[in-house]
Amino acid sequence: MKKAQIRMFETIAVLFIFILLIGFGLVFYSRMHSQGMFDRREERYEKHAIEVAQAAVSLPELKCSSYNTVVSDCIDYLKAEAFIEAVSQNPGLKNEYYFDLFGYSRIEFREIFPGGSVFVIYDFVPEDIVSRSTFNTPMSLYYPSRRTYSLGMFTVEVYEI
Amino acid sequence: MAPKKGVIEVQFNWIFILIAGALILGFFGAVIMRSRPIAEDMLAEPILTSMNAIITSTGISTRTAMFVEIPEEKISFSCERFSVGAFSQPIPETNIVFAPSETEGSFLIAWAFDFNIPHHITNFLFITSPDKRYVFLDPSNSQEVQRIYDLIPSHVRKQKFSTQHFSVDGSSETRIVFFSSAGMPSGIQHDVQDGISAIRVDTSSNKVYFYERTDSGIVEKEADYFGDAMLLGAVFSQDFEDYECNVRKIIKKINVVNRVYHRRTARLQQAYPAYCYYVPNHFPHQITSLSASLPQLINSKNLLEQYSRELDKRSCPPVY
Repeated sequence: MKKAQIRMFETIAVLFIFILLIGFGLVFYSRMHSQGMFDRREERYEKHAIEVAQAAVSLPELKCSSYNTVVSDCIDYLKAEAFIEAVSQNPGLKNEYYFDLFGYSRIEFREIFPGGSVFVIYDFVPEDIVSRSTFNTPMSLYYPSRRTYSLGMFTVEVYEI
Repeated sequence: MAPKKGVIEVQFNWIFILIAGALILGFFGAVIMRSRPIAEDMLAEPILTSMNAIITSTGISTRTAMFVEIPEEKISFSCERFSVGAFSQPIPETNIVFAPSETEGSFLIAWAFDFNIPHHITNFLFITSPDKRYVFLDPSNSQEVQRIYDLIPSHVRKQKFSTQHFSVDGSSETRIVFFSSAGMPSGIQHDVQDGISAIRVDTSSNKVYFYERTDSGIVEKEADYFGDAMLLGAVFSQDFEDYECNVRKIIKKINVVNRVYHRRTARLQQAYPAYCYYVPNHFPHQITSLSASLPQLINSKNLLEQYSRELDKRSCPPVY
């Protein structure tokens, strides 16, 4: 009887250690997996910032054009001014219409040369921010009333809540 | 006594093995069941990401068709969202997408088409698949219909016939596009069923008619279109409701863009002398329905094209 009990305890011990090893393996795998998912999430937010920037500069409400011939990497100052005014006067445009496109983000243009003006095209910053991702690209600003161009930086910052 | 001890020990041993084996199998079964939704998520995620990228990039390049390779998963589209299995994402209201209700297979065809009135409003995204067929029937064999037909990329499975009779073999999903102001032949109406849909286009009155089979027979639903892009939208839309939903989005977009242009034109009017003739009201921005505003939009388009030529001659900045 004692021999049988010892053997049974041996078997249980082997099983226990086996399950322990499996458990360690699973914990290790899930941590690796969640780290990979975290990295992919970071990458996705960086891509999202670029997508928001692309969507913003290709909006007919903002981009420079001459009889439907698009000028690349250029924002029309009068359009941007009118766009900002329209969005500020219509909360529905900011909170719903453009939120679908831009989400929680801030889009601004910072003039570098020759002027130094800064204007915020879209601004929907949440209260609780977990992380943020920024994308900058140089861009021209066209003044139709003067027919001149200036150089600036177009910045898109997206937020994760 | 000894034999009885051995019998009991063997029996207990087997019972113990069975219990332990069941526990181990149950443990791994639970792990598999828990990781299955995660695996489905991982399969749907690249498709959702690709579709998002395609929809977002609509504003960048137009009139170029793309073959998009996707895993063999069913993708469902509606006017407001698209979904892969249990996972769905909304289509932003700023994006106009005409797509079939479902696609399945390893390829999608996506192409963007600019909508101008005459200034650029937005790009429409048309999505279809190689197994969907589009048949143009034009009894009058007009150049206008040929022009519209040629706008559709060659990758799309399309055919054109100069006849009003067409027999459908039912081997693939077919959209029949019939060009006539006189009405849809009863033979084609009769063919409308699951997998075979039909629309009639009256280019003289900018109207498109959707034909749908209901319990009470074939129902004709009338809609308006303005320009080639909207006509193609009617060709690629799922049905009347999908088309009308996208028209509502288009109207909203027209109002938003025209509001910007209205103010911009007013500022140009202040900045330039009177010989640079800028009229902000050429950009109507309070449109509520396409049928009510279509004459106004057509008139504005014509006036803008006319005045832009004048502005160009006078070396004034373009109005759009």
